[in-house]
Amino acid sequence: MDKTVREQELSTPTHPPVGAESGLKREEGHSPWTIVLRRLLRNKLAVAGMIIIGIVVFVAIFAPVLAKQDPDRNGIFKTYLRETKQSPSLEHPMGTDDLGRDILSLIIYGSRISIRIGFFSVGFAIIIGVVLGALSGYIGGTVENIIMRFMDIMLAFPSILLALVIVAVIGPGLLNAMIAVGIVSIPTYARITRASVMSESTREYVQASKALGANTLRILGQHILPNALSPIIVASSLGIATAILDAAGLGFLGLGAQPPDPEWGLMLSRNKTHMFTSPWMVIFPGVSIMFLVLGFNLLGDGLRDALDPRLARRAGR
Amino acid sequence: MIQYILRRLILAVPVLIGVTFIAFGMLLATGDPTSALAGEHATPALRAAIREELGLDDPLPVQYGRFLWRLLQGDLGRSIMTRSPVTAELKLFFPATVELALAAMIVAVLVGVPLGVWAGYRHNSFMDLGTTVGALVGVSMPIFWLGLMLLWIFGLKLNWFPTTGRIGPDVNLQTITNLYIVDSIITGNIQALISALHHIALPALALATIPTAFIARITRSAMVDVMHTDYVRTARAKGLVERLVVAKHALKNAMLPVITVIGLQTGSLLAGAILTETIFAWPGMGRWIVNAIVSRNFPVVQTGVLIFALVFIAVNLIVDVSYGWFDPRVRYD
Repeated sequence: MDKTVREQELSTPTHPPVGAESGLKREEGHSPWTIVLRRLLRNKLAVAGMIIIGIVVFVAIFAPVLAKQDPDRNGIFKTYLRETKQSPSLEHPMGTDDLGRDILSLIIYGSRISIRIGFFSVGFAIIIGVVLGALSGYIGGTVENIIMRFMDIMLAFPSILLALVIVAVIGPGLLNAMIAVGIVSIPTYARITRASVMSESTREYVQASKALGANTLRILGQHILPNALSPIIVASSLGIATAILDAAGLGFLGLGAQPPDPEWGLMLSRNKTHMFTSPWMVIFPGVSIMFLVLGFNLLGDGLRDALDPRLARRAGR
Repeated sequence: MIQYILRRLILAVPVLIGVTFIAFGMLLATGDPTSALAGEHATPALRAAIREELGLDDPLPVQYGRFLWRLLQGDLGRSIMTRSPVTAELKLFFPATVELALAAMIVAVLVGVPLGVWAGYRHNSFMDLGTTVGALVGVSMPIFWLGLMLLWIFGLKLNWFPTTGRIGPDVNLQTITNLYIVDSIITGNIQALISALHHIALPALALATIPTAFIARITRSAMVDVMHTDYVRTARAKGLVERLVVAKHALKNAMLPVITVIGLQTGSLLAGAILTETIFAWPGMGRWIVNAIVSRNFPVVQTGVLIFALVFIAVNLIVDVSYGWFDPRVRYD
């Protein structure tokens, strides 16, 4: 929902490629990416973000080892009706829900869904967005007009509303919610790519490569798109944060993940009726969403500062 | 200036037409509308009658033309659930969302701008770090969760605020604009005003979180920028008191990016309203649309989509035009 602000910062056509005009010195013998990584590691907030993401990814991978209770082959968690709504204890650090299931275990398995949502939706958006952006920037003319006006129309909607409408049309469900959230963020990547393509394709090295007989695909892939890489990386880290939030929102409204998936937004929505008697049923899923989203936001901010020192200077870091 | 506004309005036309395409196409993409209207087990005769009545057998361009024509006349169809005209429901729900969004925006500006100015002025202080981290946490917070927490703590545990609705059931208010706060001020109804403010407090607070965080962040970085400019140094050098340096020289120049964010955040407010209204049972557009999507009430969804997009486009236009007022260097050509 907040992507428009960032997009403005990101999609400026003057965005410098990594290492160019940004005071990065080649003579130190390091590649621009090494320098970016170093800058990133010096930024405490970005490191905090990486640690958060690392923890969640670790938990998602080792869920069967870490969780006390595991789902069966159909993804259904066993219910323990003698242990319903127990408050947090050593045995159940996050308490149990109204069916006696260990909330920590549900949250551990839920991390798999959230990570999947983030990477799938943003990957989907990048693939389609980059293709559309490259096409419109390179071909220009009518193709460009049609594609970019369509992107404008998509940007005329608040993102979660557009996602809601898409889900309303293609039907609720986790996969559809991921697709909807992905479609909504296509314009971000299309705009970034188009801006890079337009600013690069007039450069002399591109002309030279054309004169040498390189074909369009080669010029795009080898020369132009690498220049779009850094803004796309920044946008995708922030985009994953937004995607996870929006998909959790859809889950909360009953239009995203469906039971028995332990998706965090859906958990919040089904547990909210027990909020007054057992608040832990609602507190922990929300904290989990916030934790992971914060991680990607911190990393995204750090990446932006590391990749574009002009912005970093402006932000006073 | 007027030329610029006109050109922007003309540029908005294709986008608006595109939006109507999406609203129209949505209905087609969802399959047979007669099932939604008459149920899955409707007789073929009934279905045919409905198709005849709605003109569903006409060619698509004709249907789209009719849809557009009705739209221009303000006829948005009837709600499938309540059978009442969509425009009548819209008149009730739209002001509720506007009121909530405005209240949230006022909270966000009143909290976010001073916080950002302070953090930017005391750049690299503990306060600055606190604001930066706080703003990042605010942006990362699922608004539906925050709403539930506020509801639980302030609504039910402490019992300070009512948890649902826009106004107390025992309060009589003559509605004019359907913005209850405005109405109660116009009619001089103190009791209604207190009740309306009391009801809007929690949802507005929940909805304000994300915009507050964004406004604080942008104000901060704009302030950091501006405090290092030559004219601020000049202002200080000529012996101006610090308060005036900040208020007259720094703040006004730092406002341009802030205005942009305020405008752009309107989108996130509308989006946030969809979730906030669901939690606080606030009878506005967001809850109306979500309920309509769940019950496949497409005339309502169509209207909601159109209105949201229209507001969004209008706000962006206002933001662009307001630049000139804040920064006369901006030229509209």
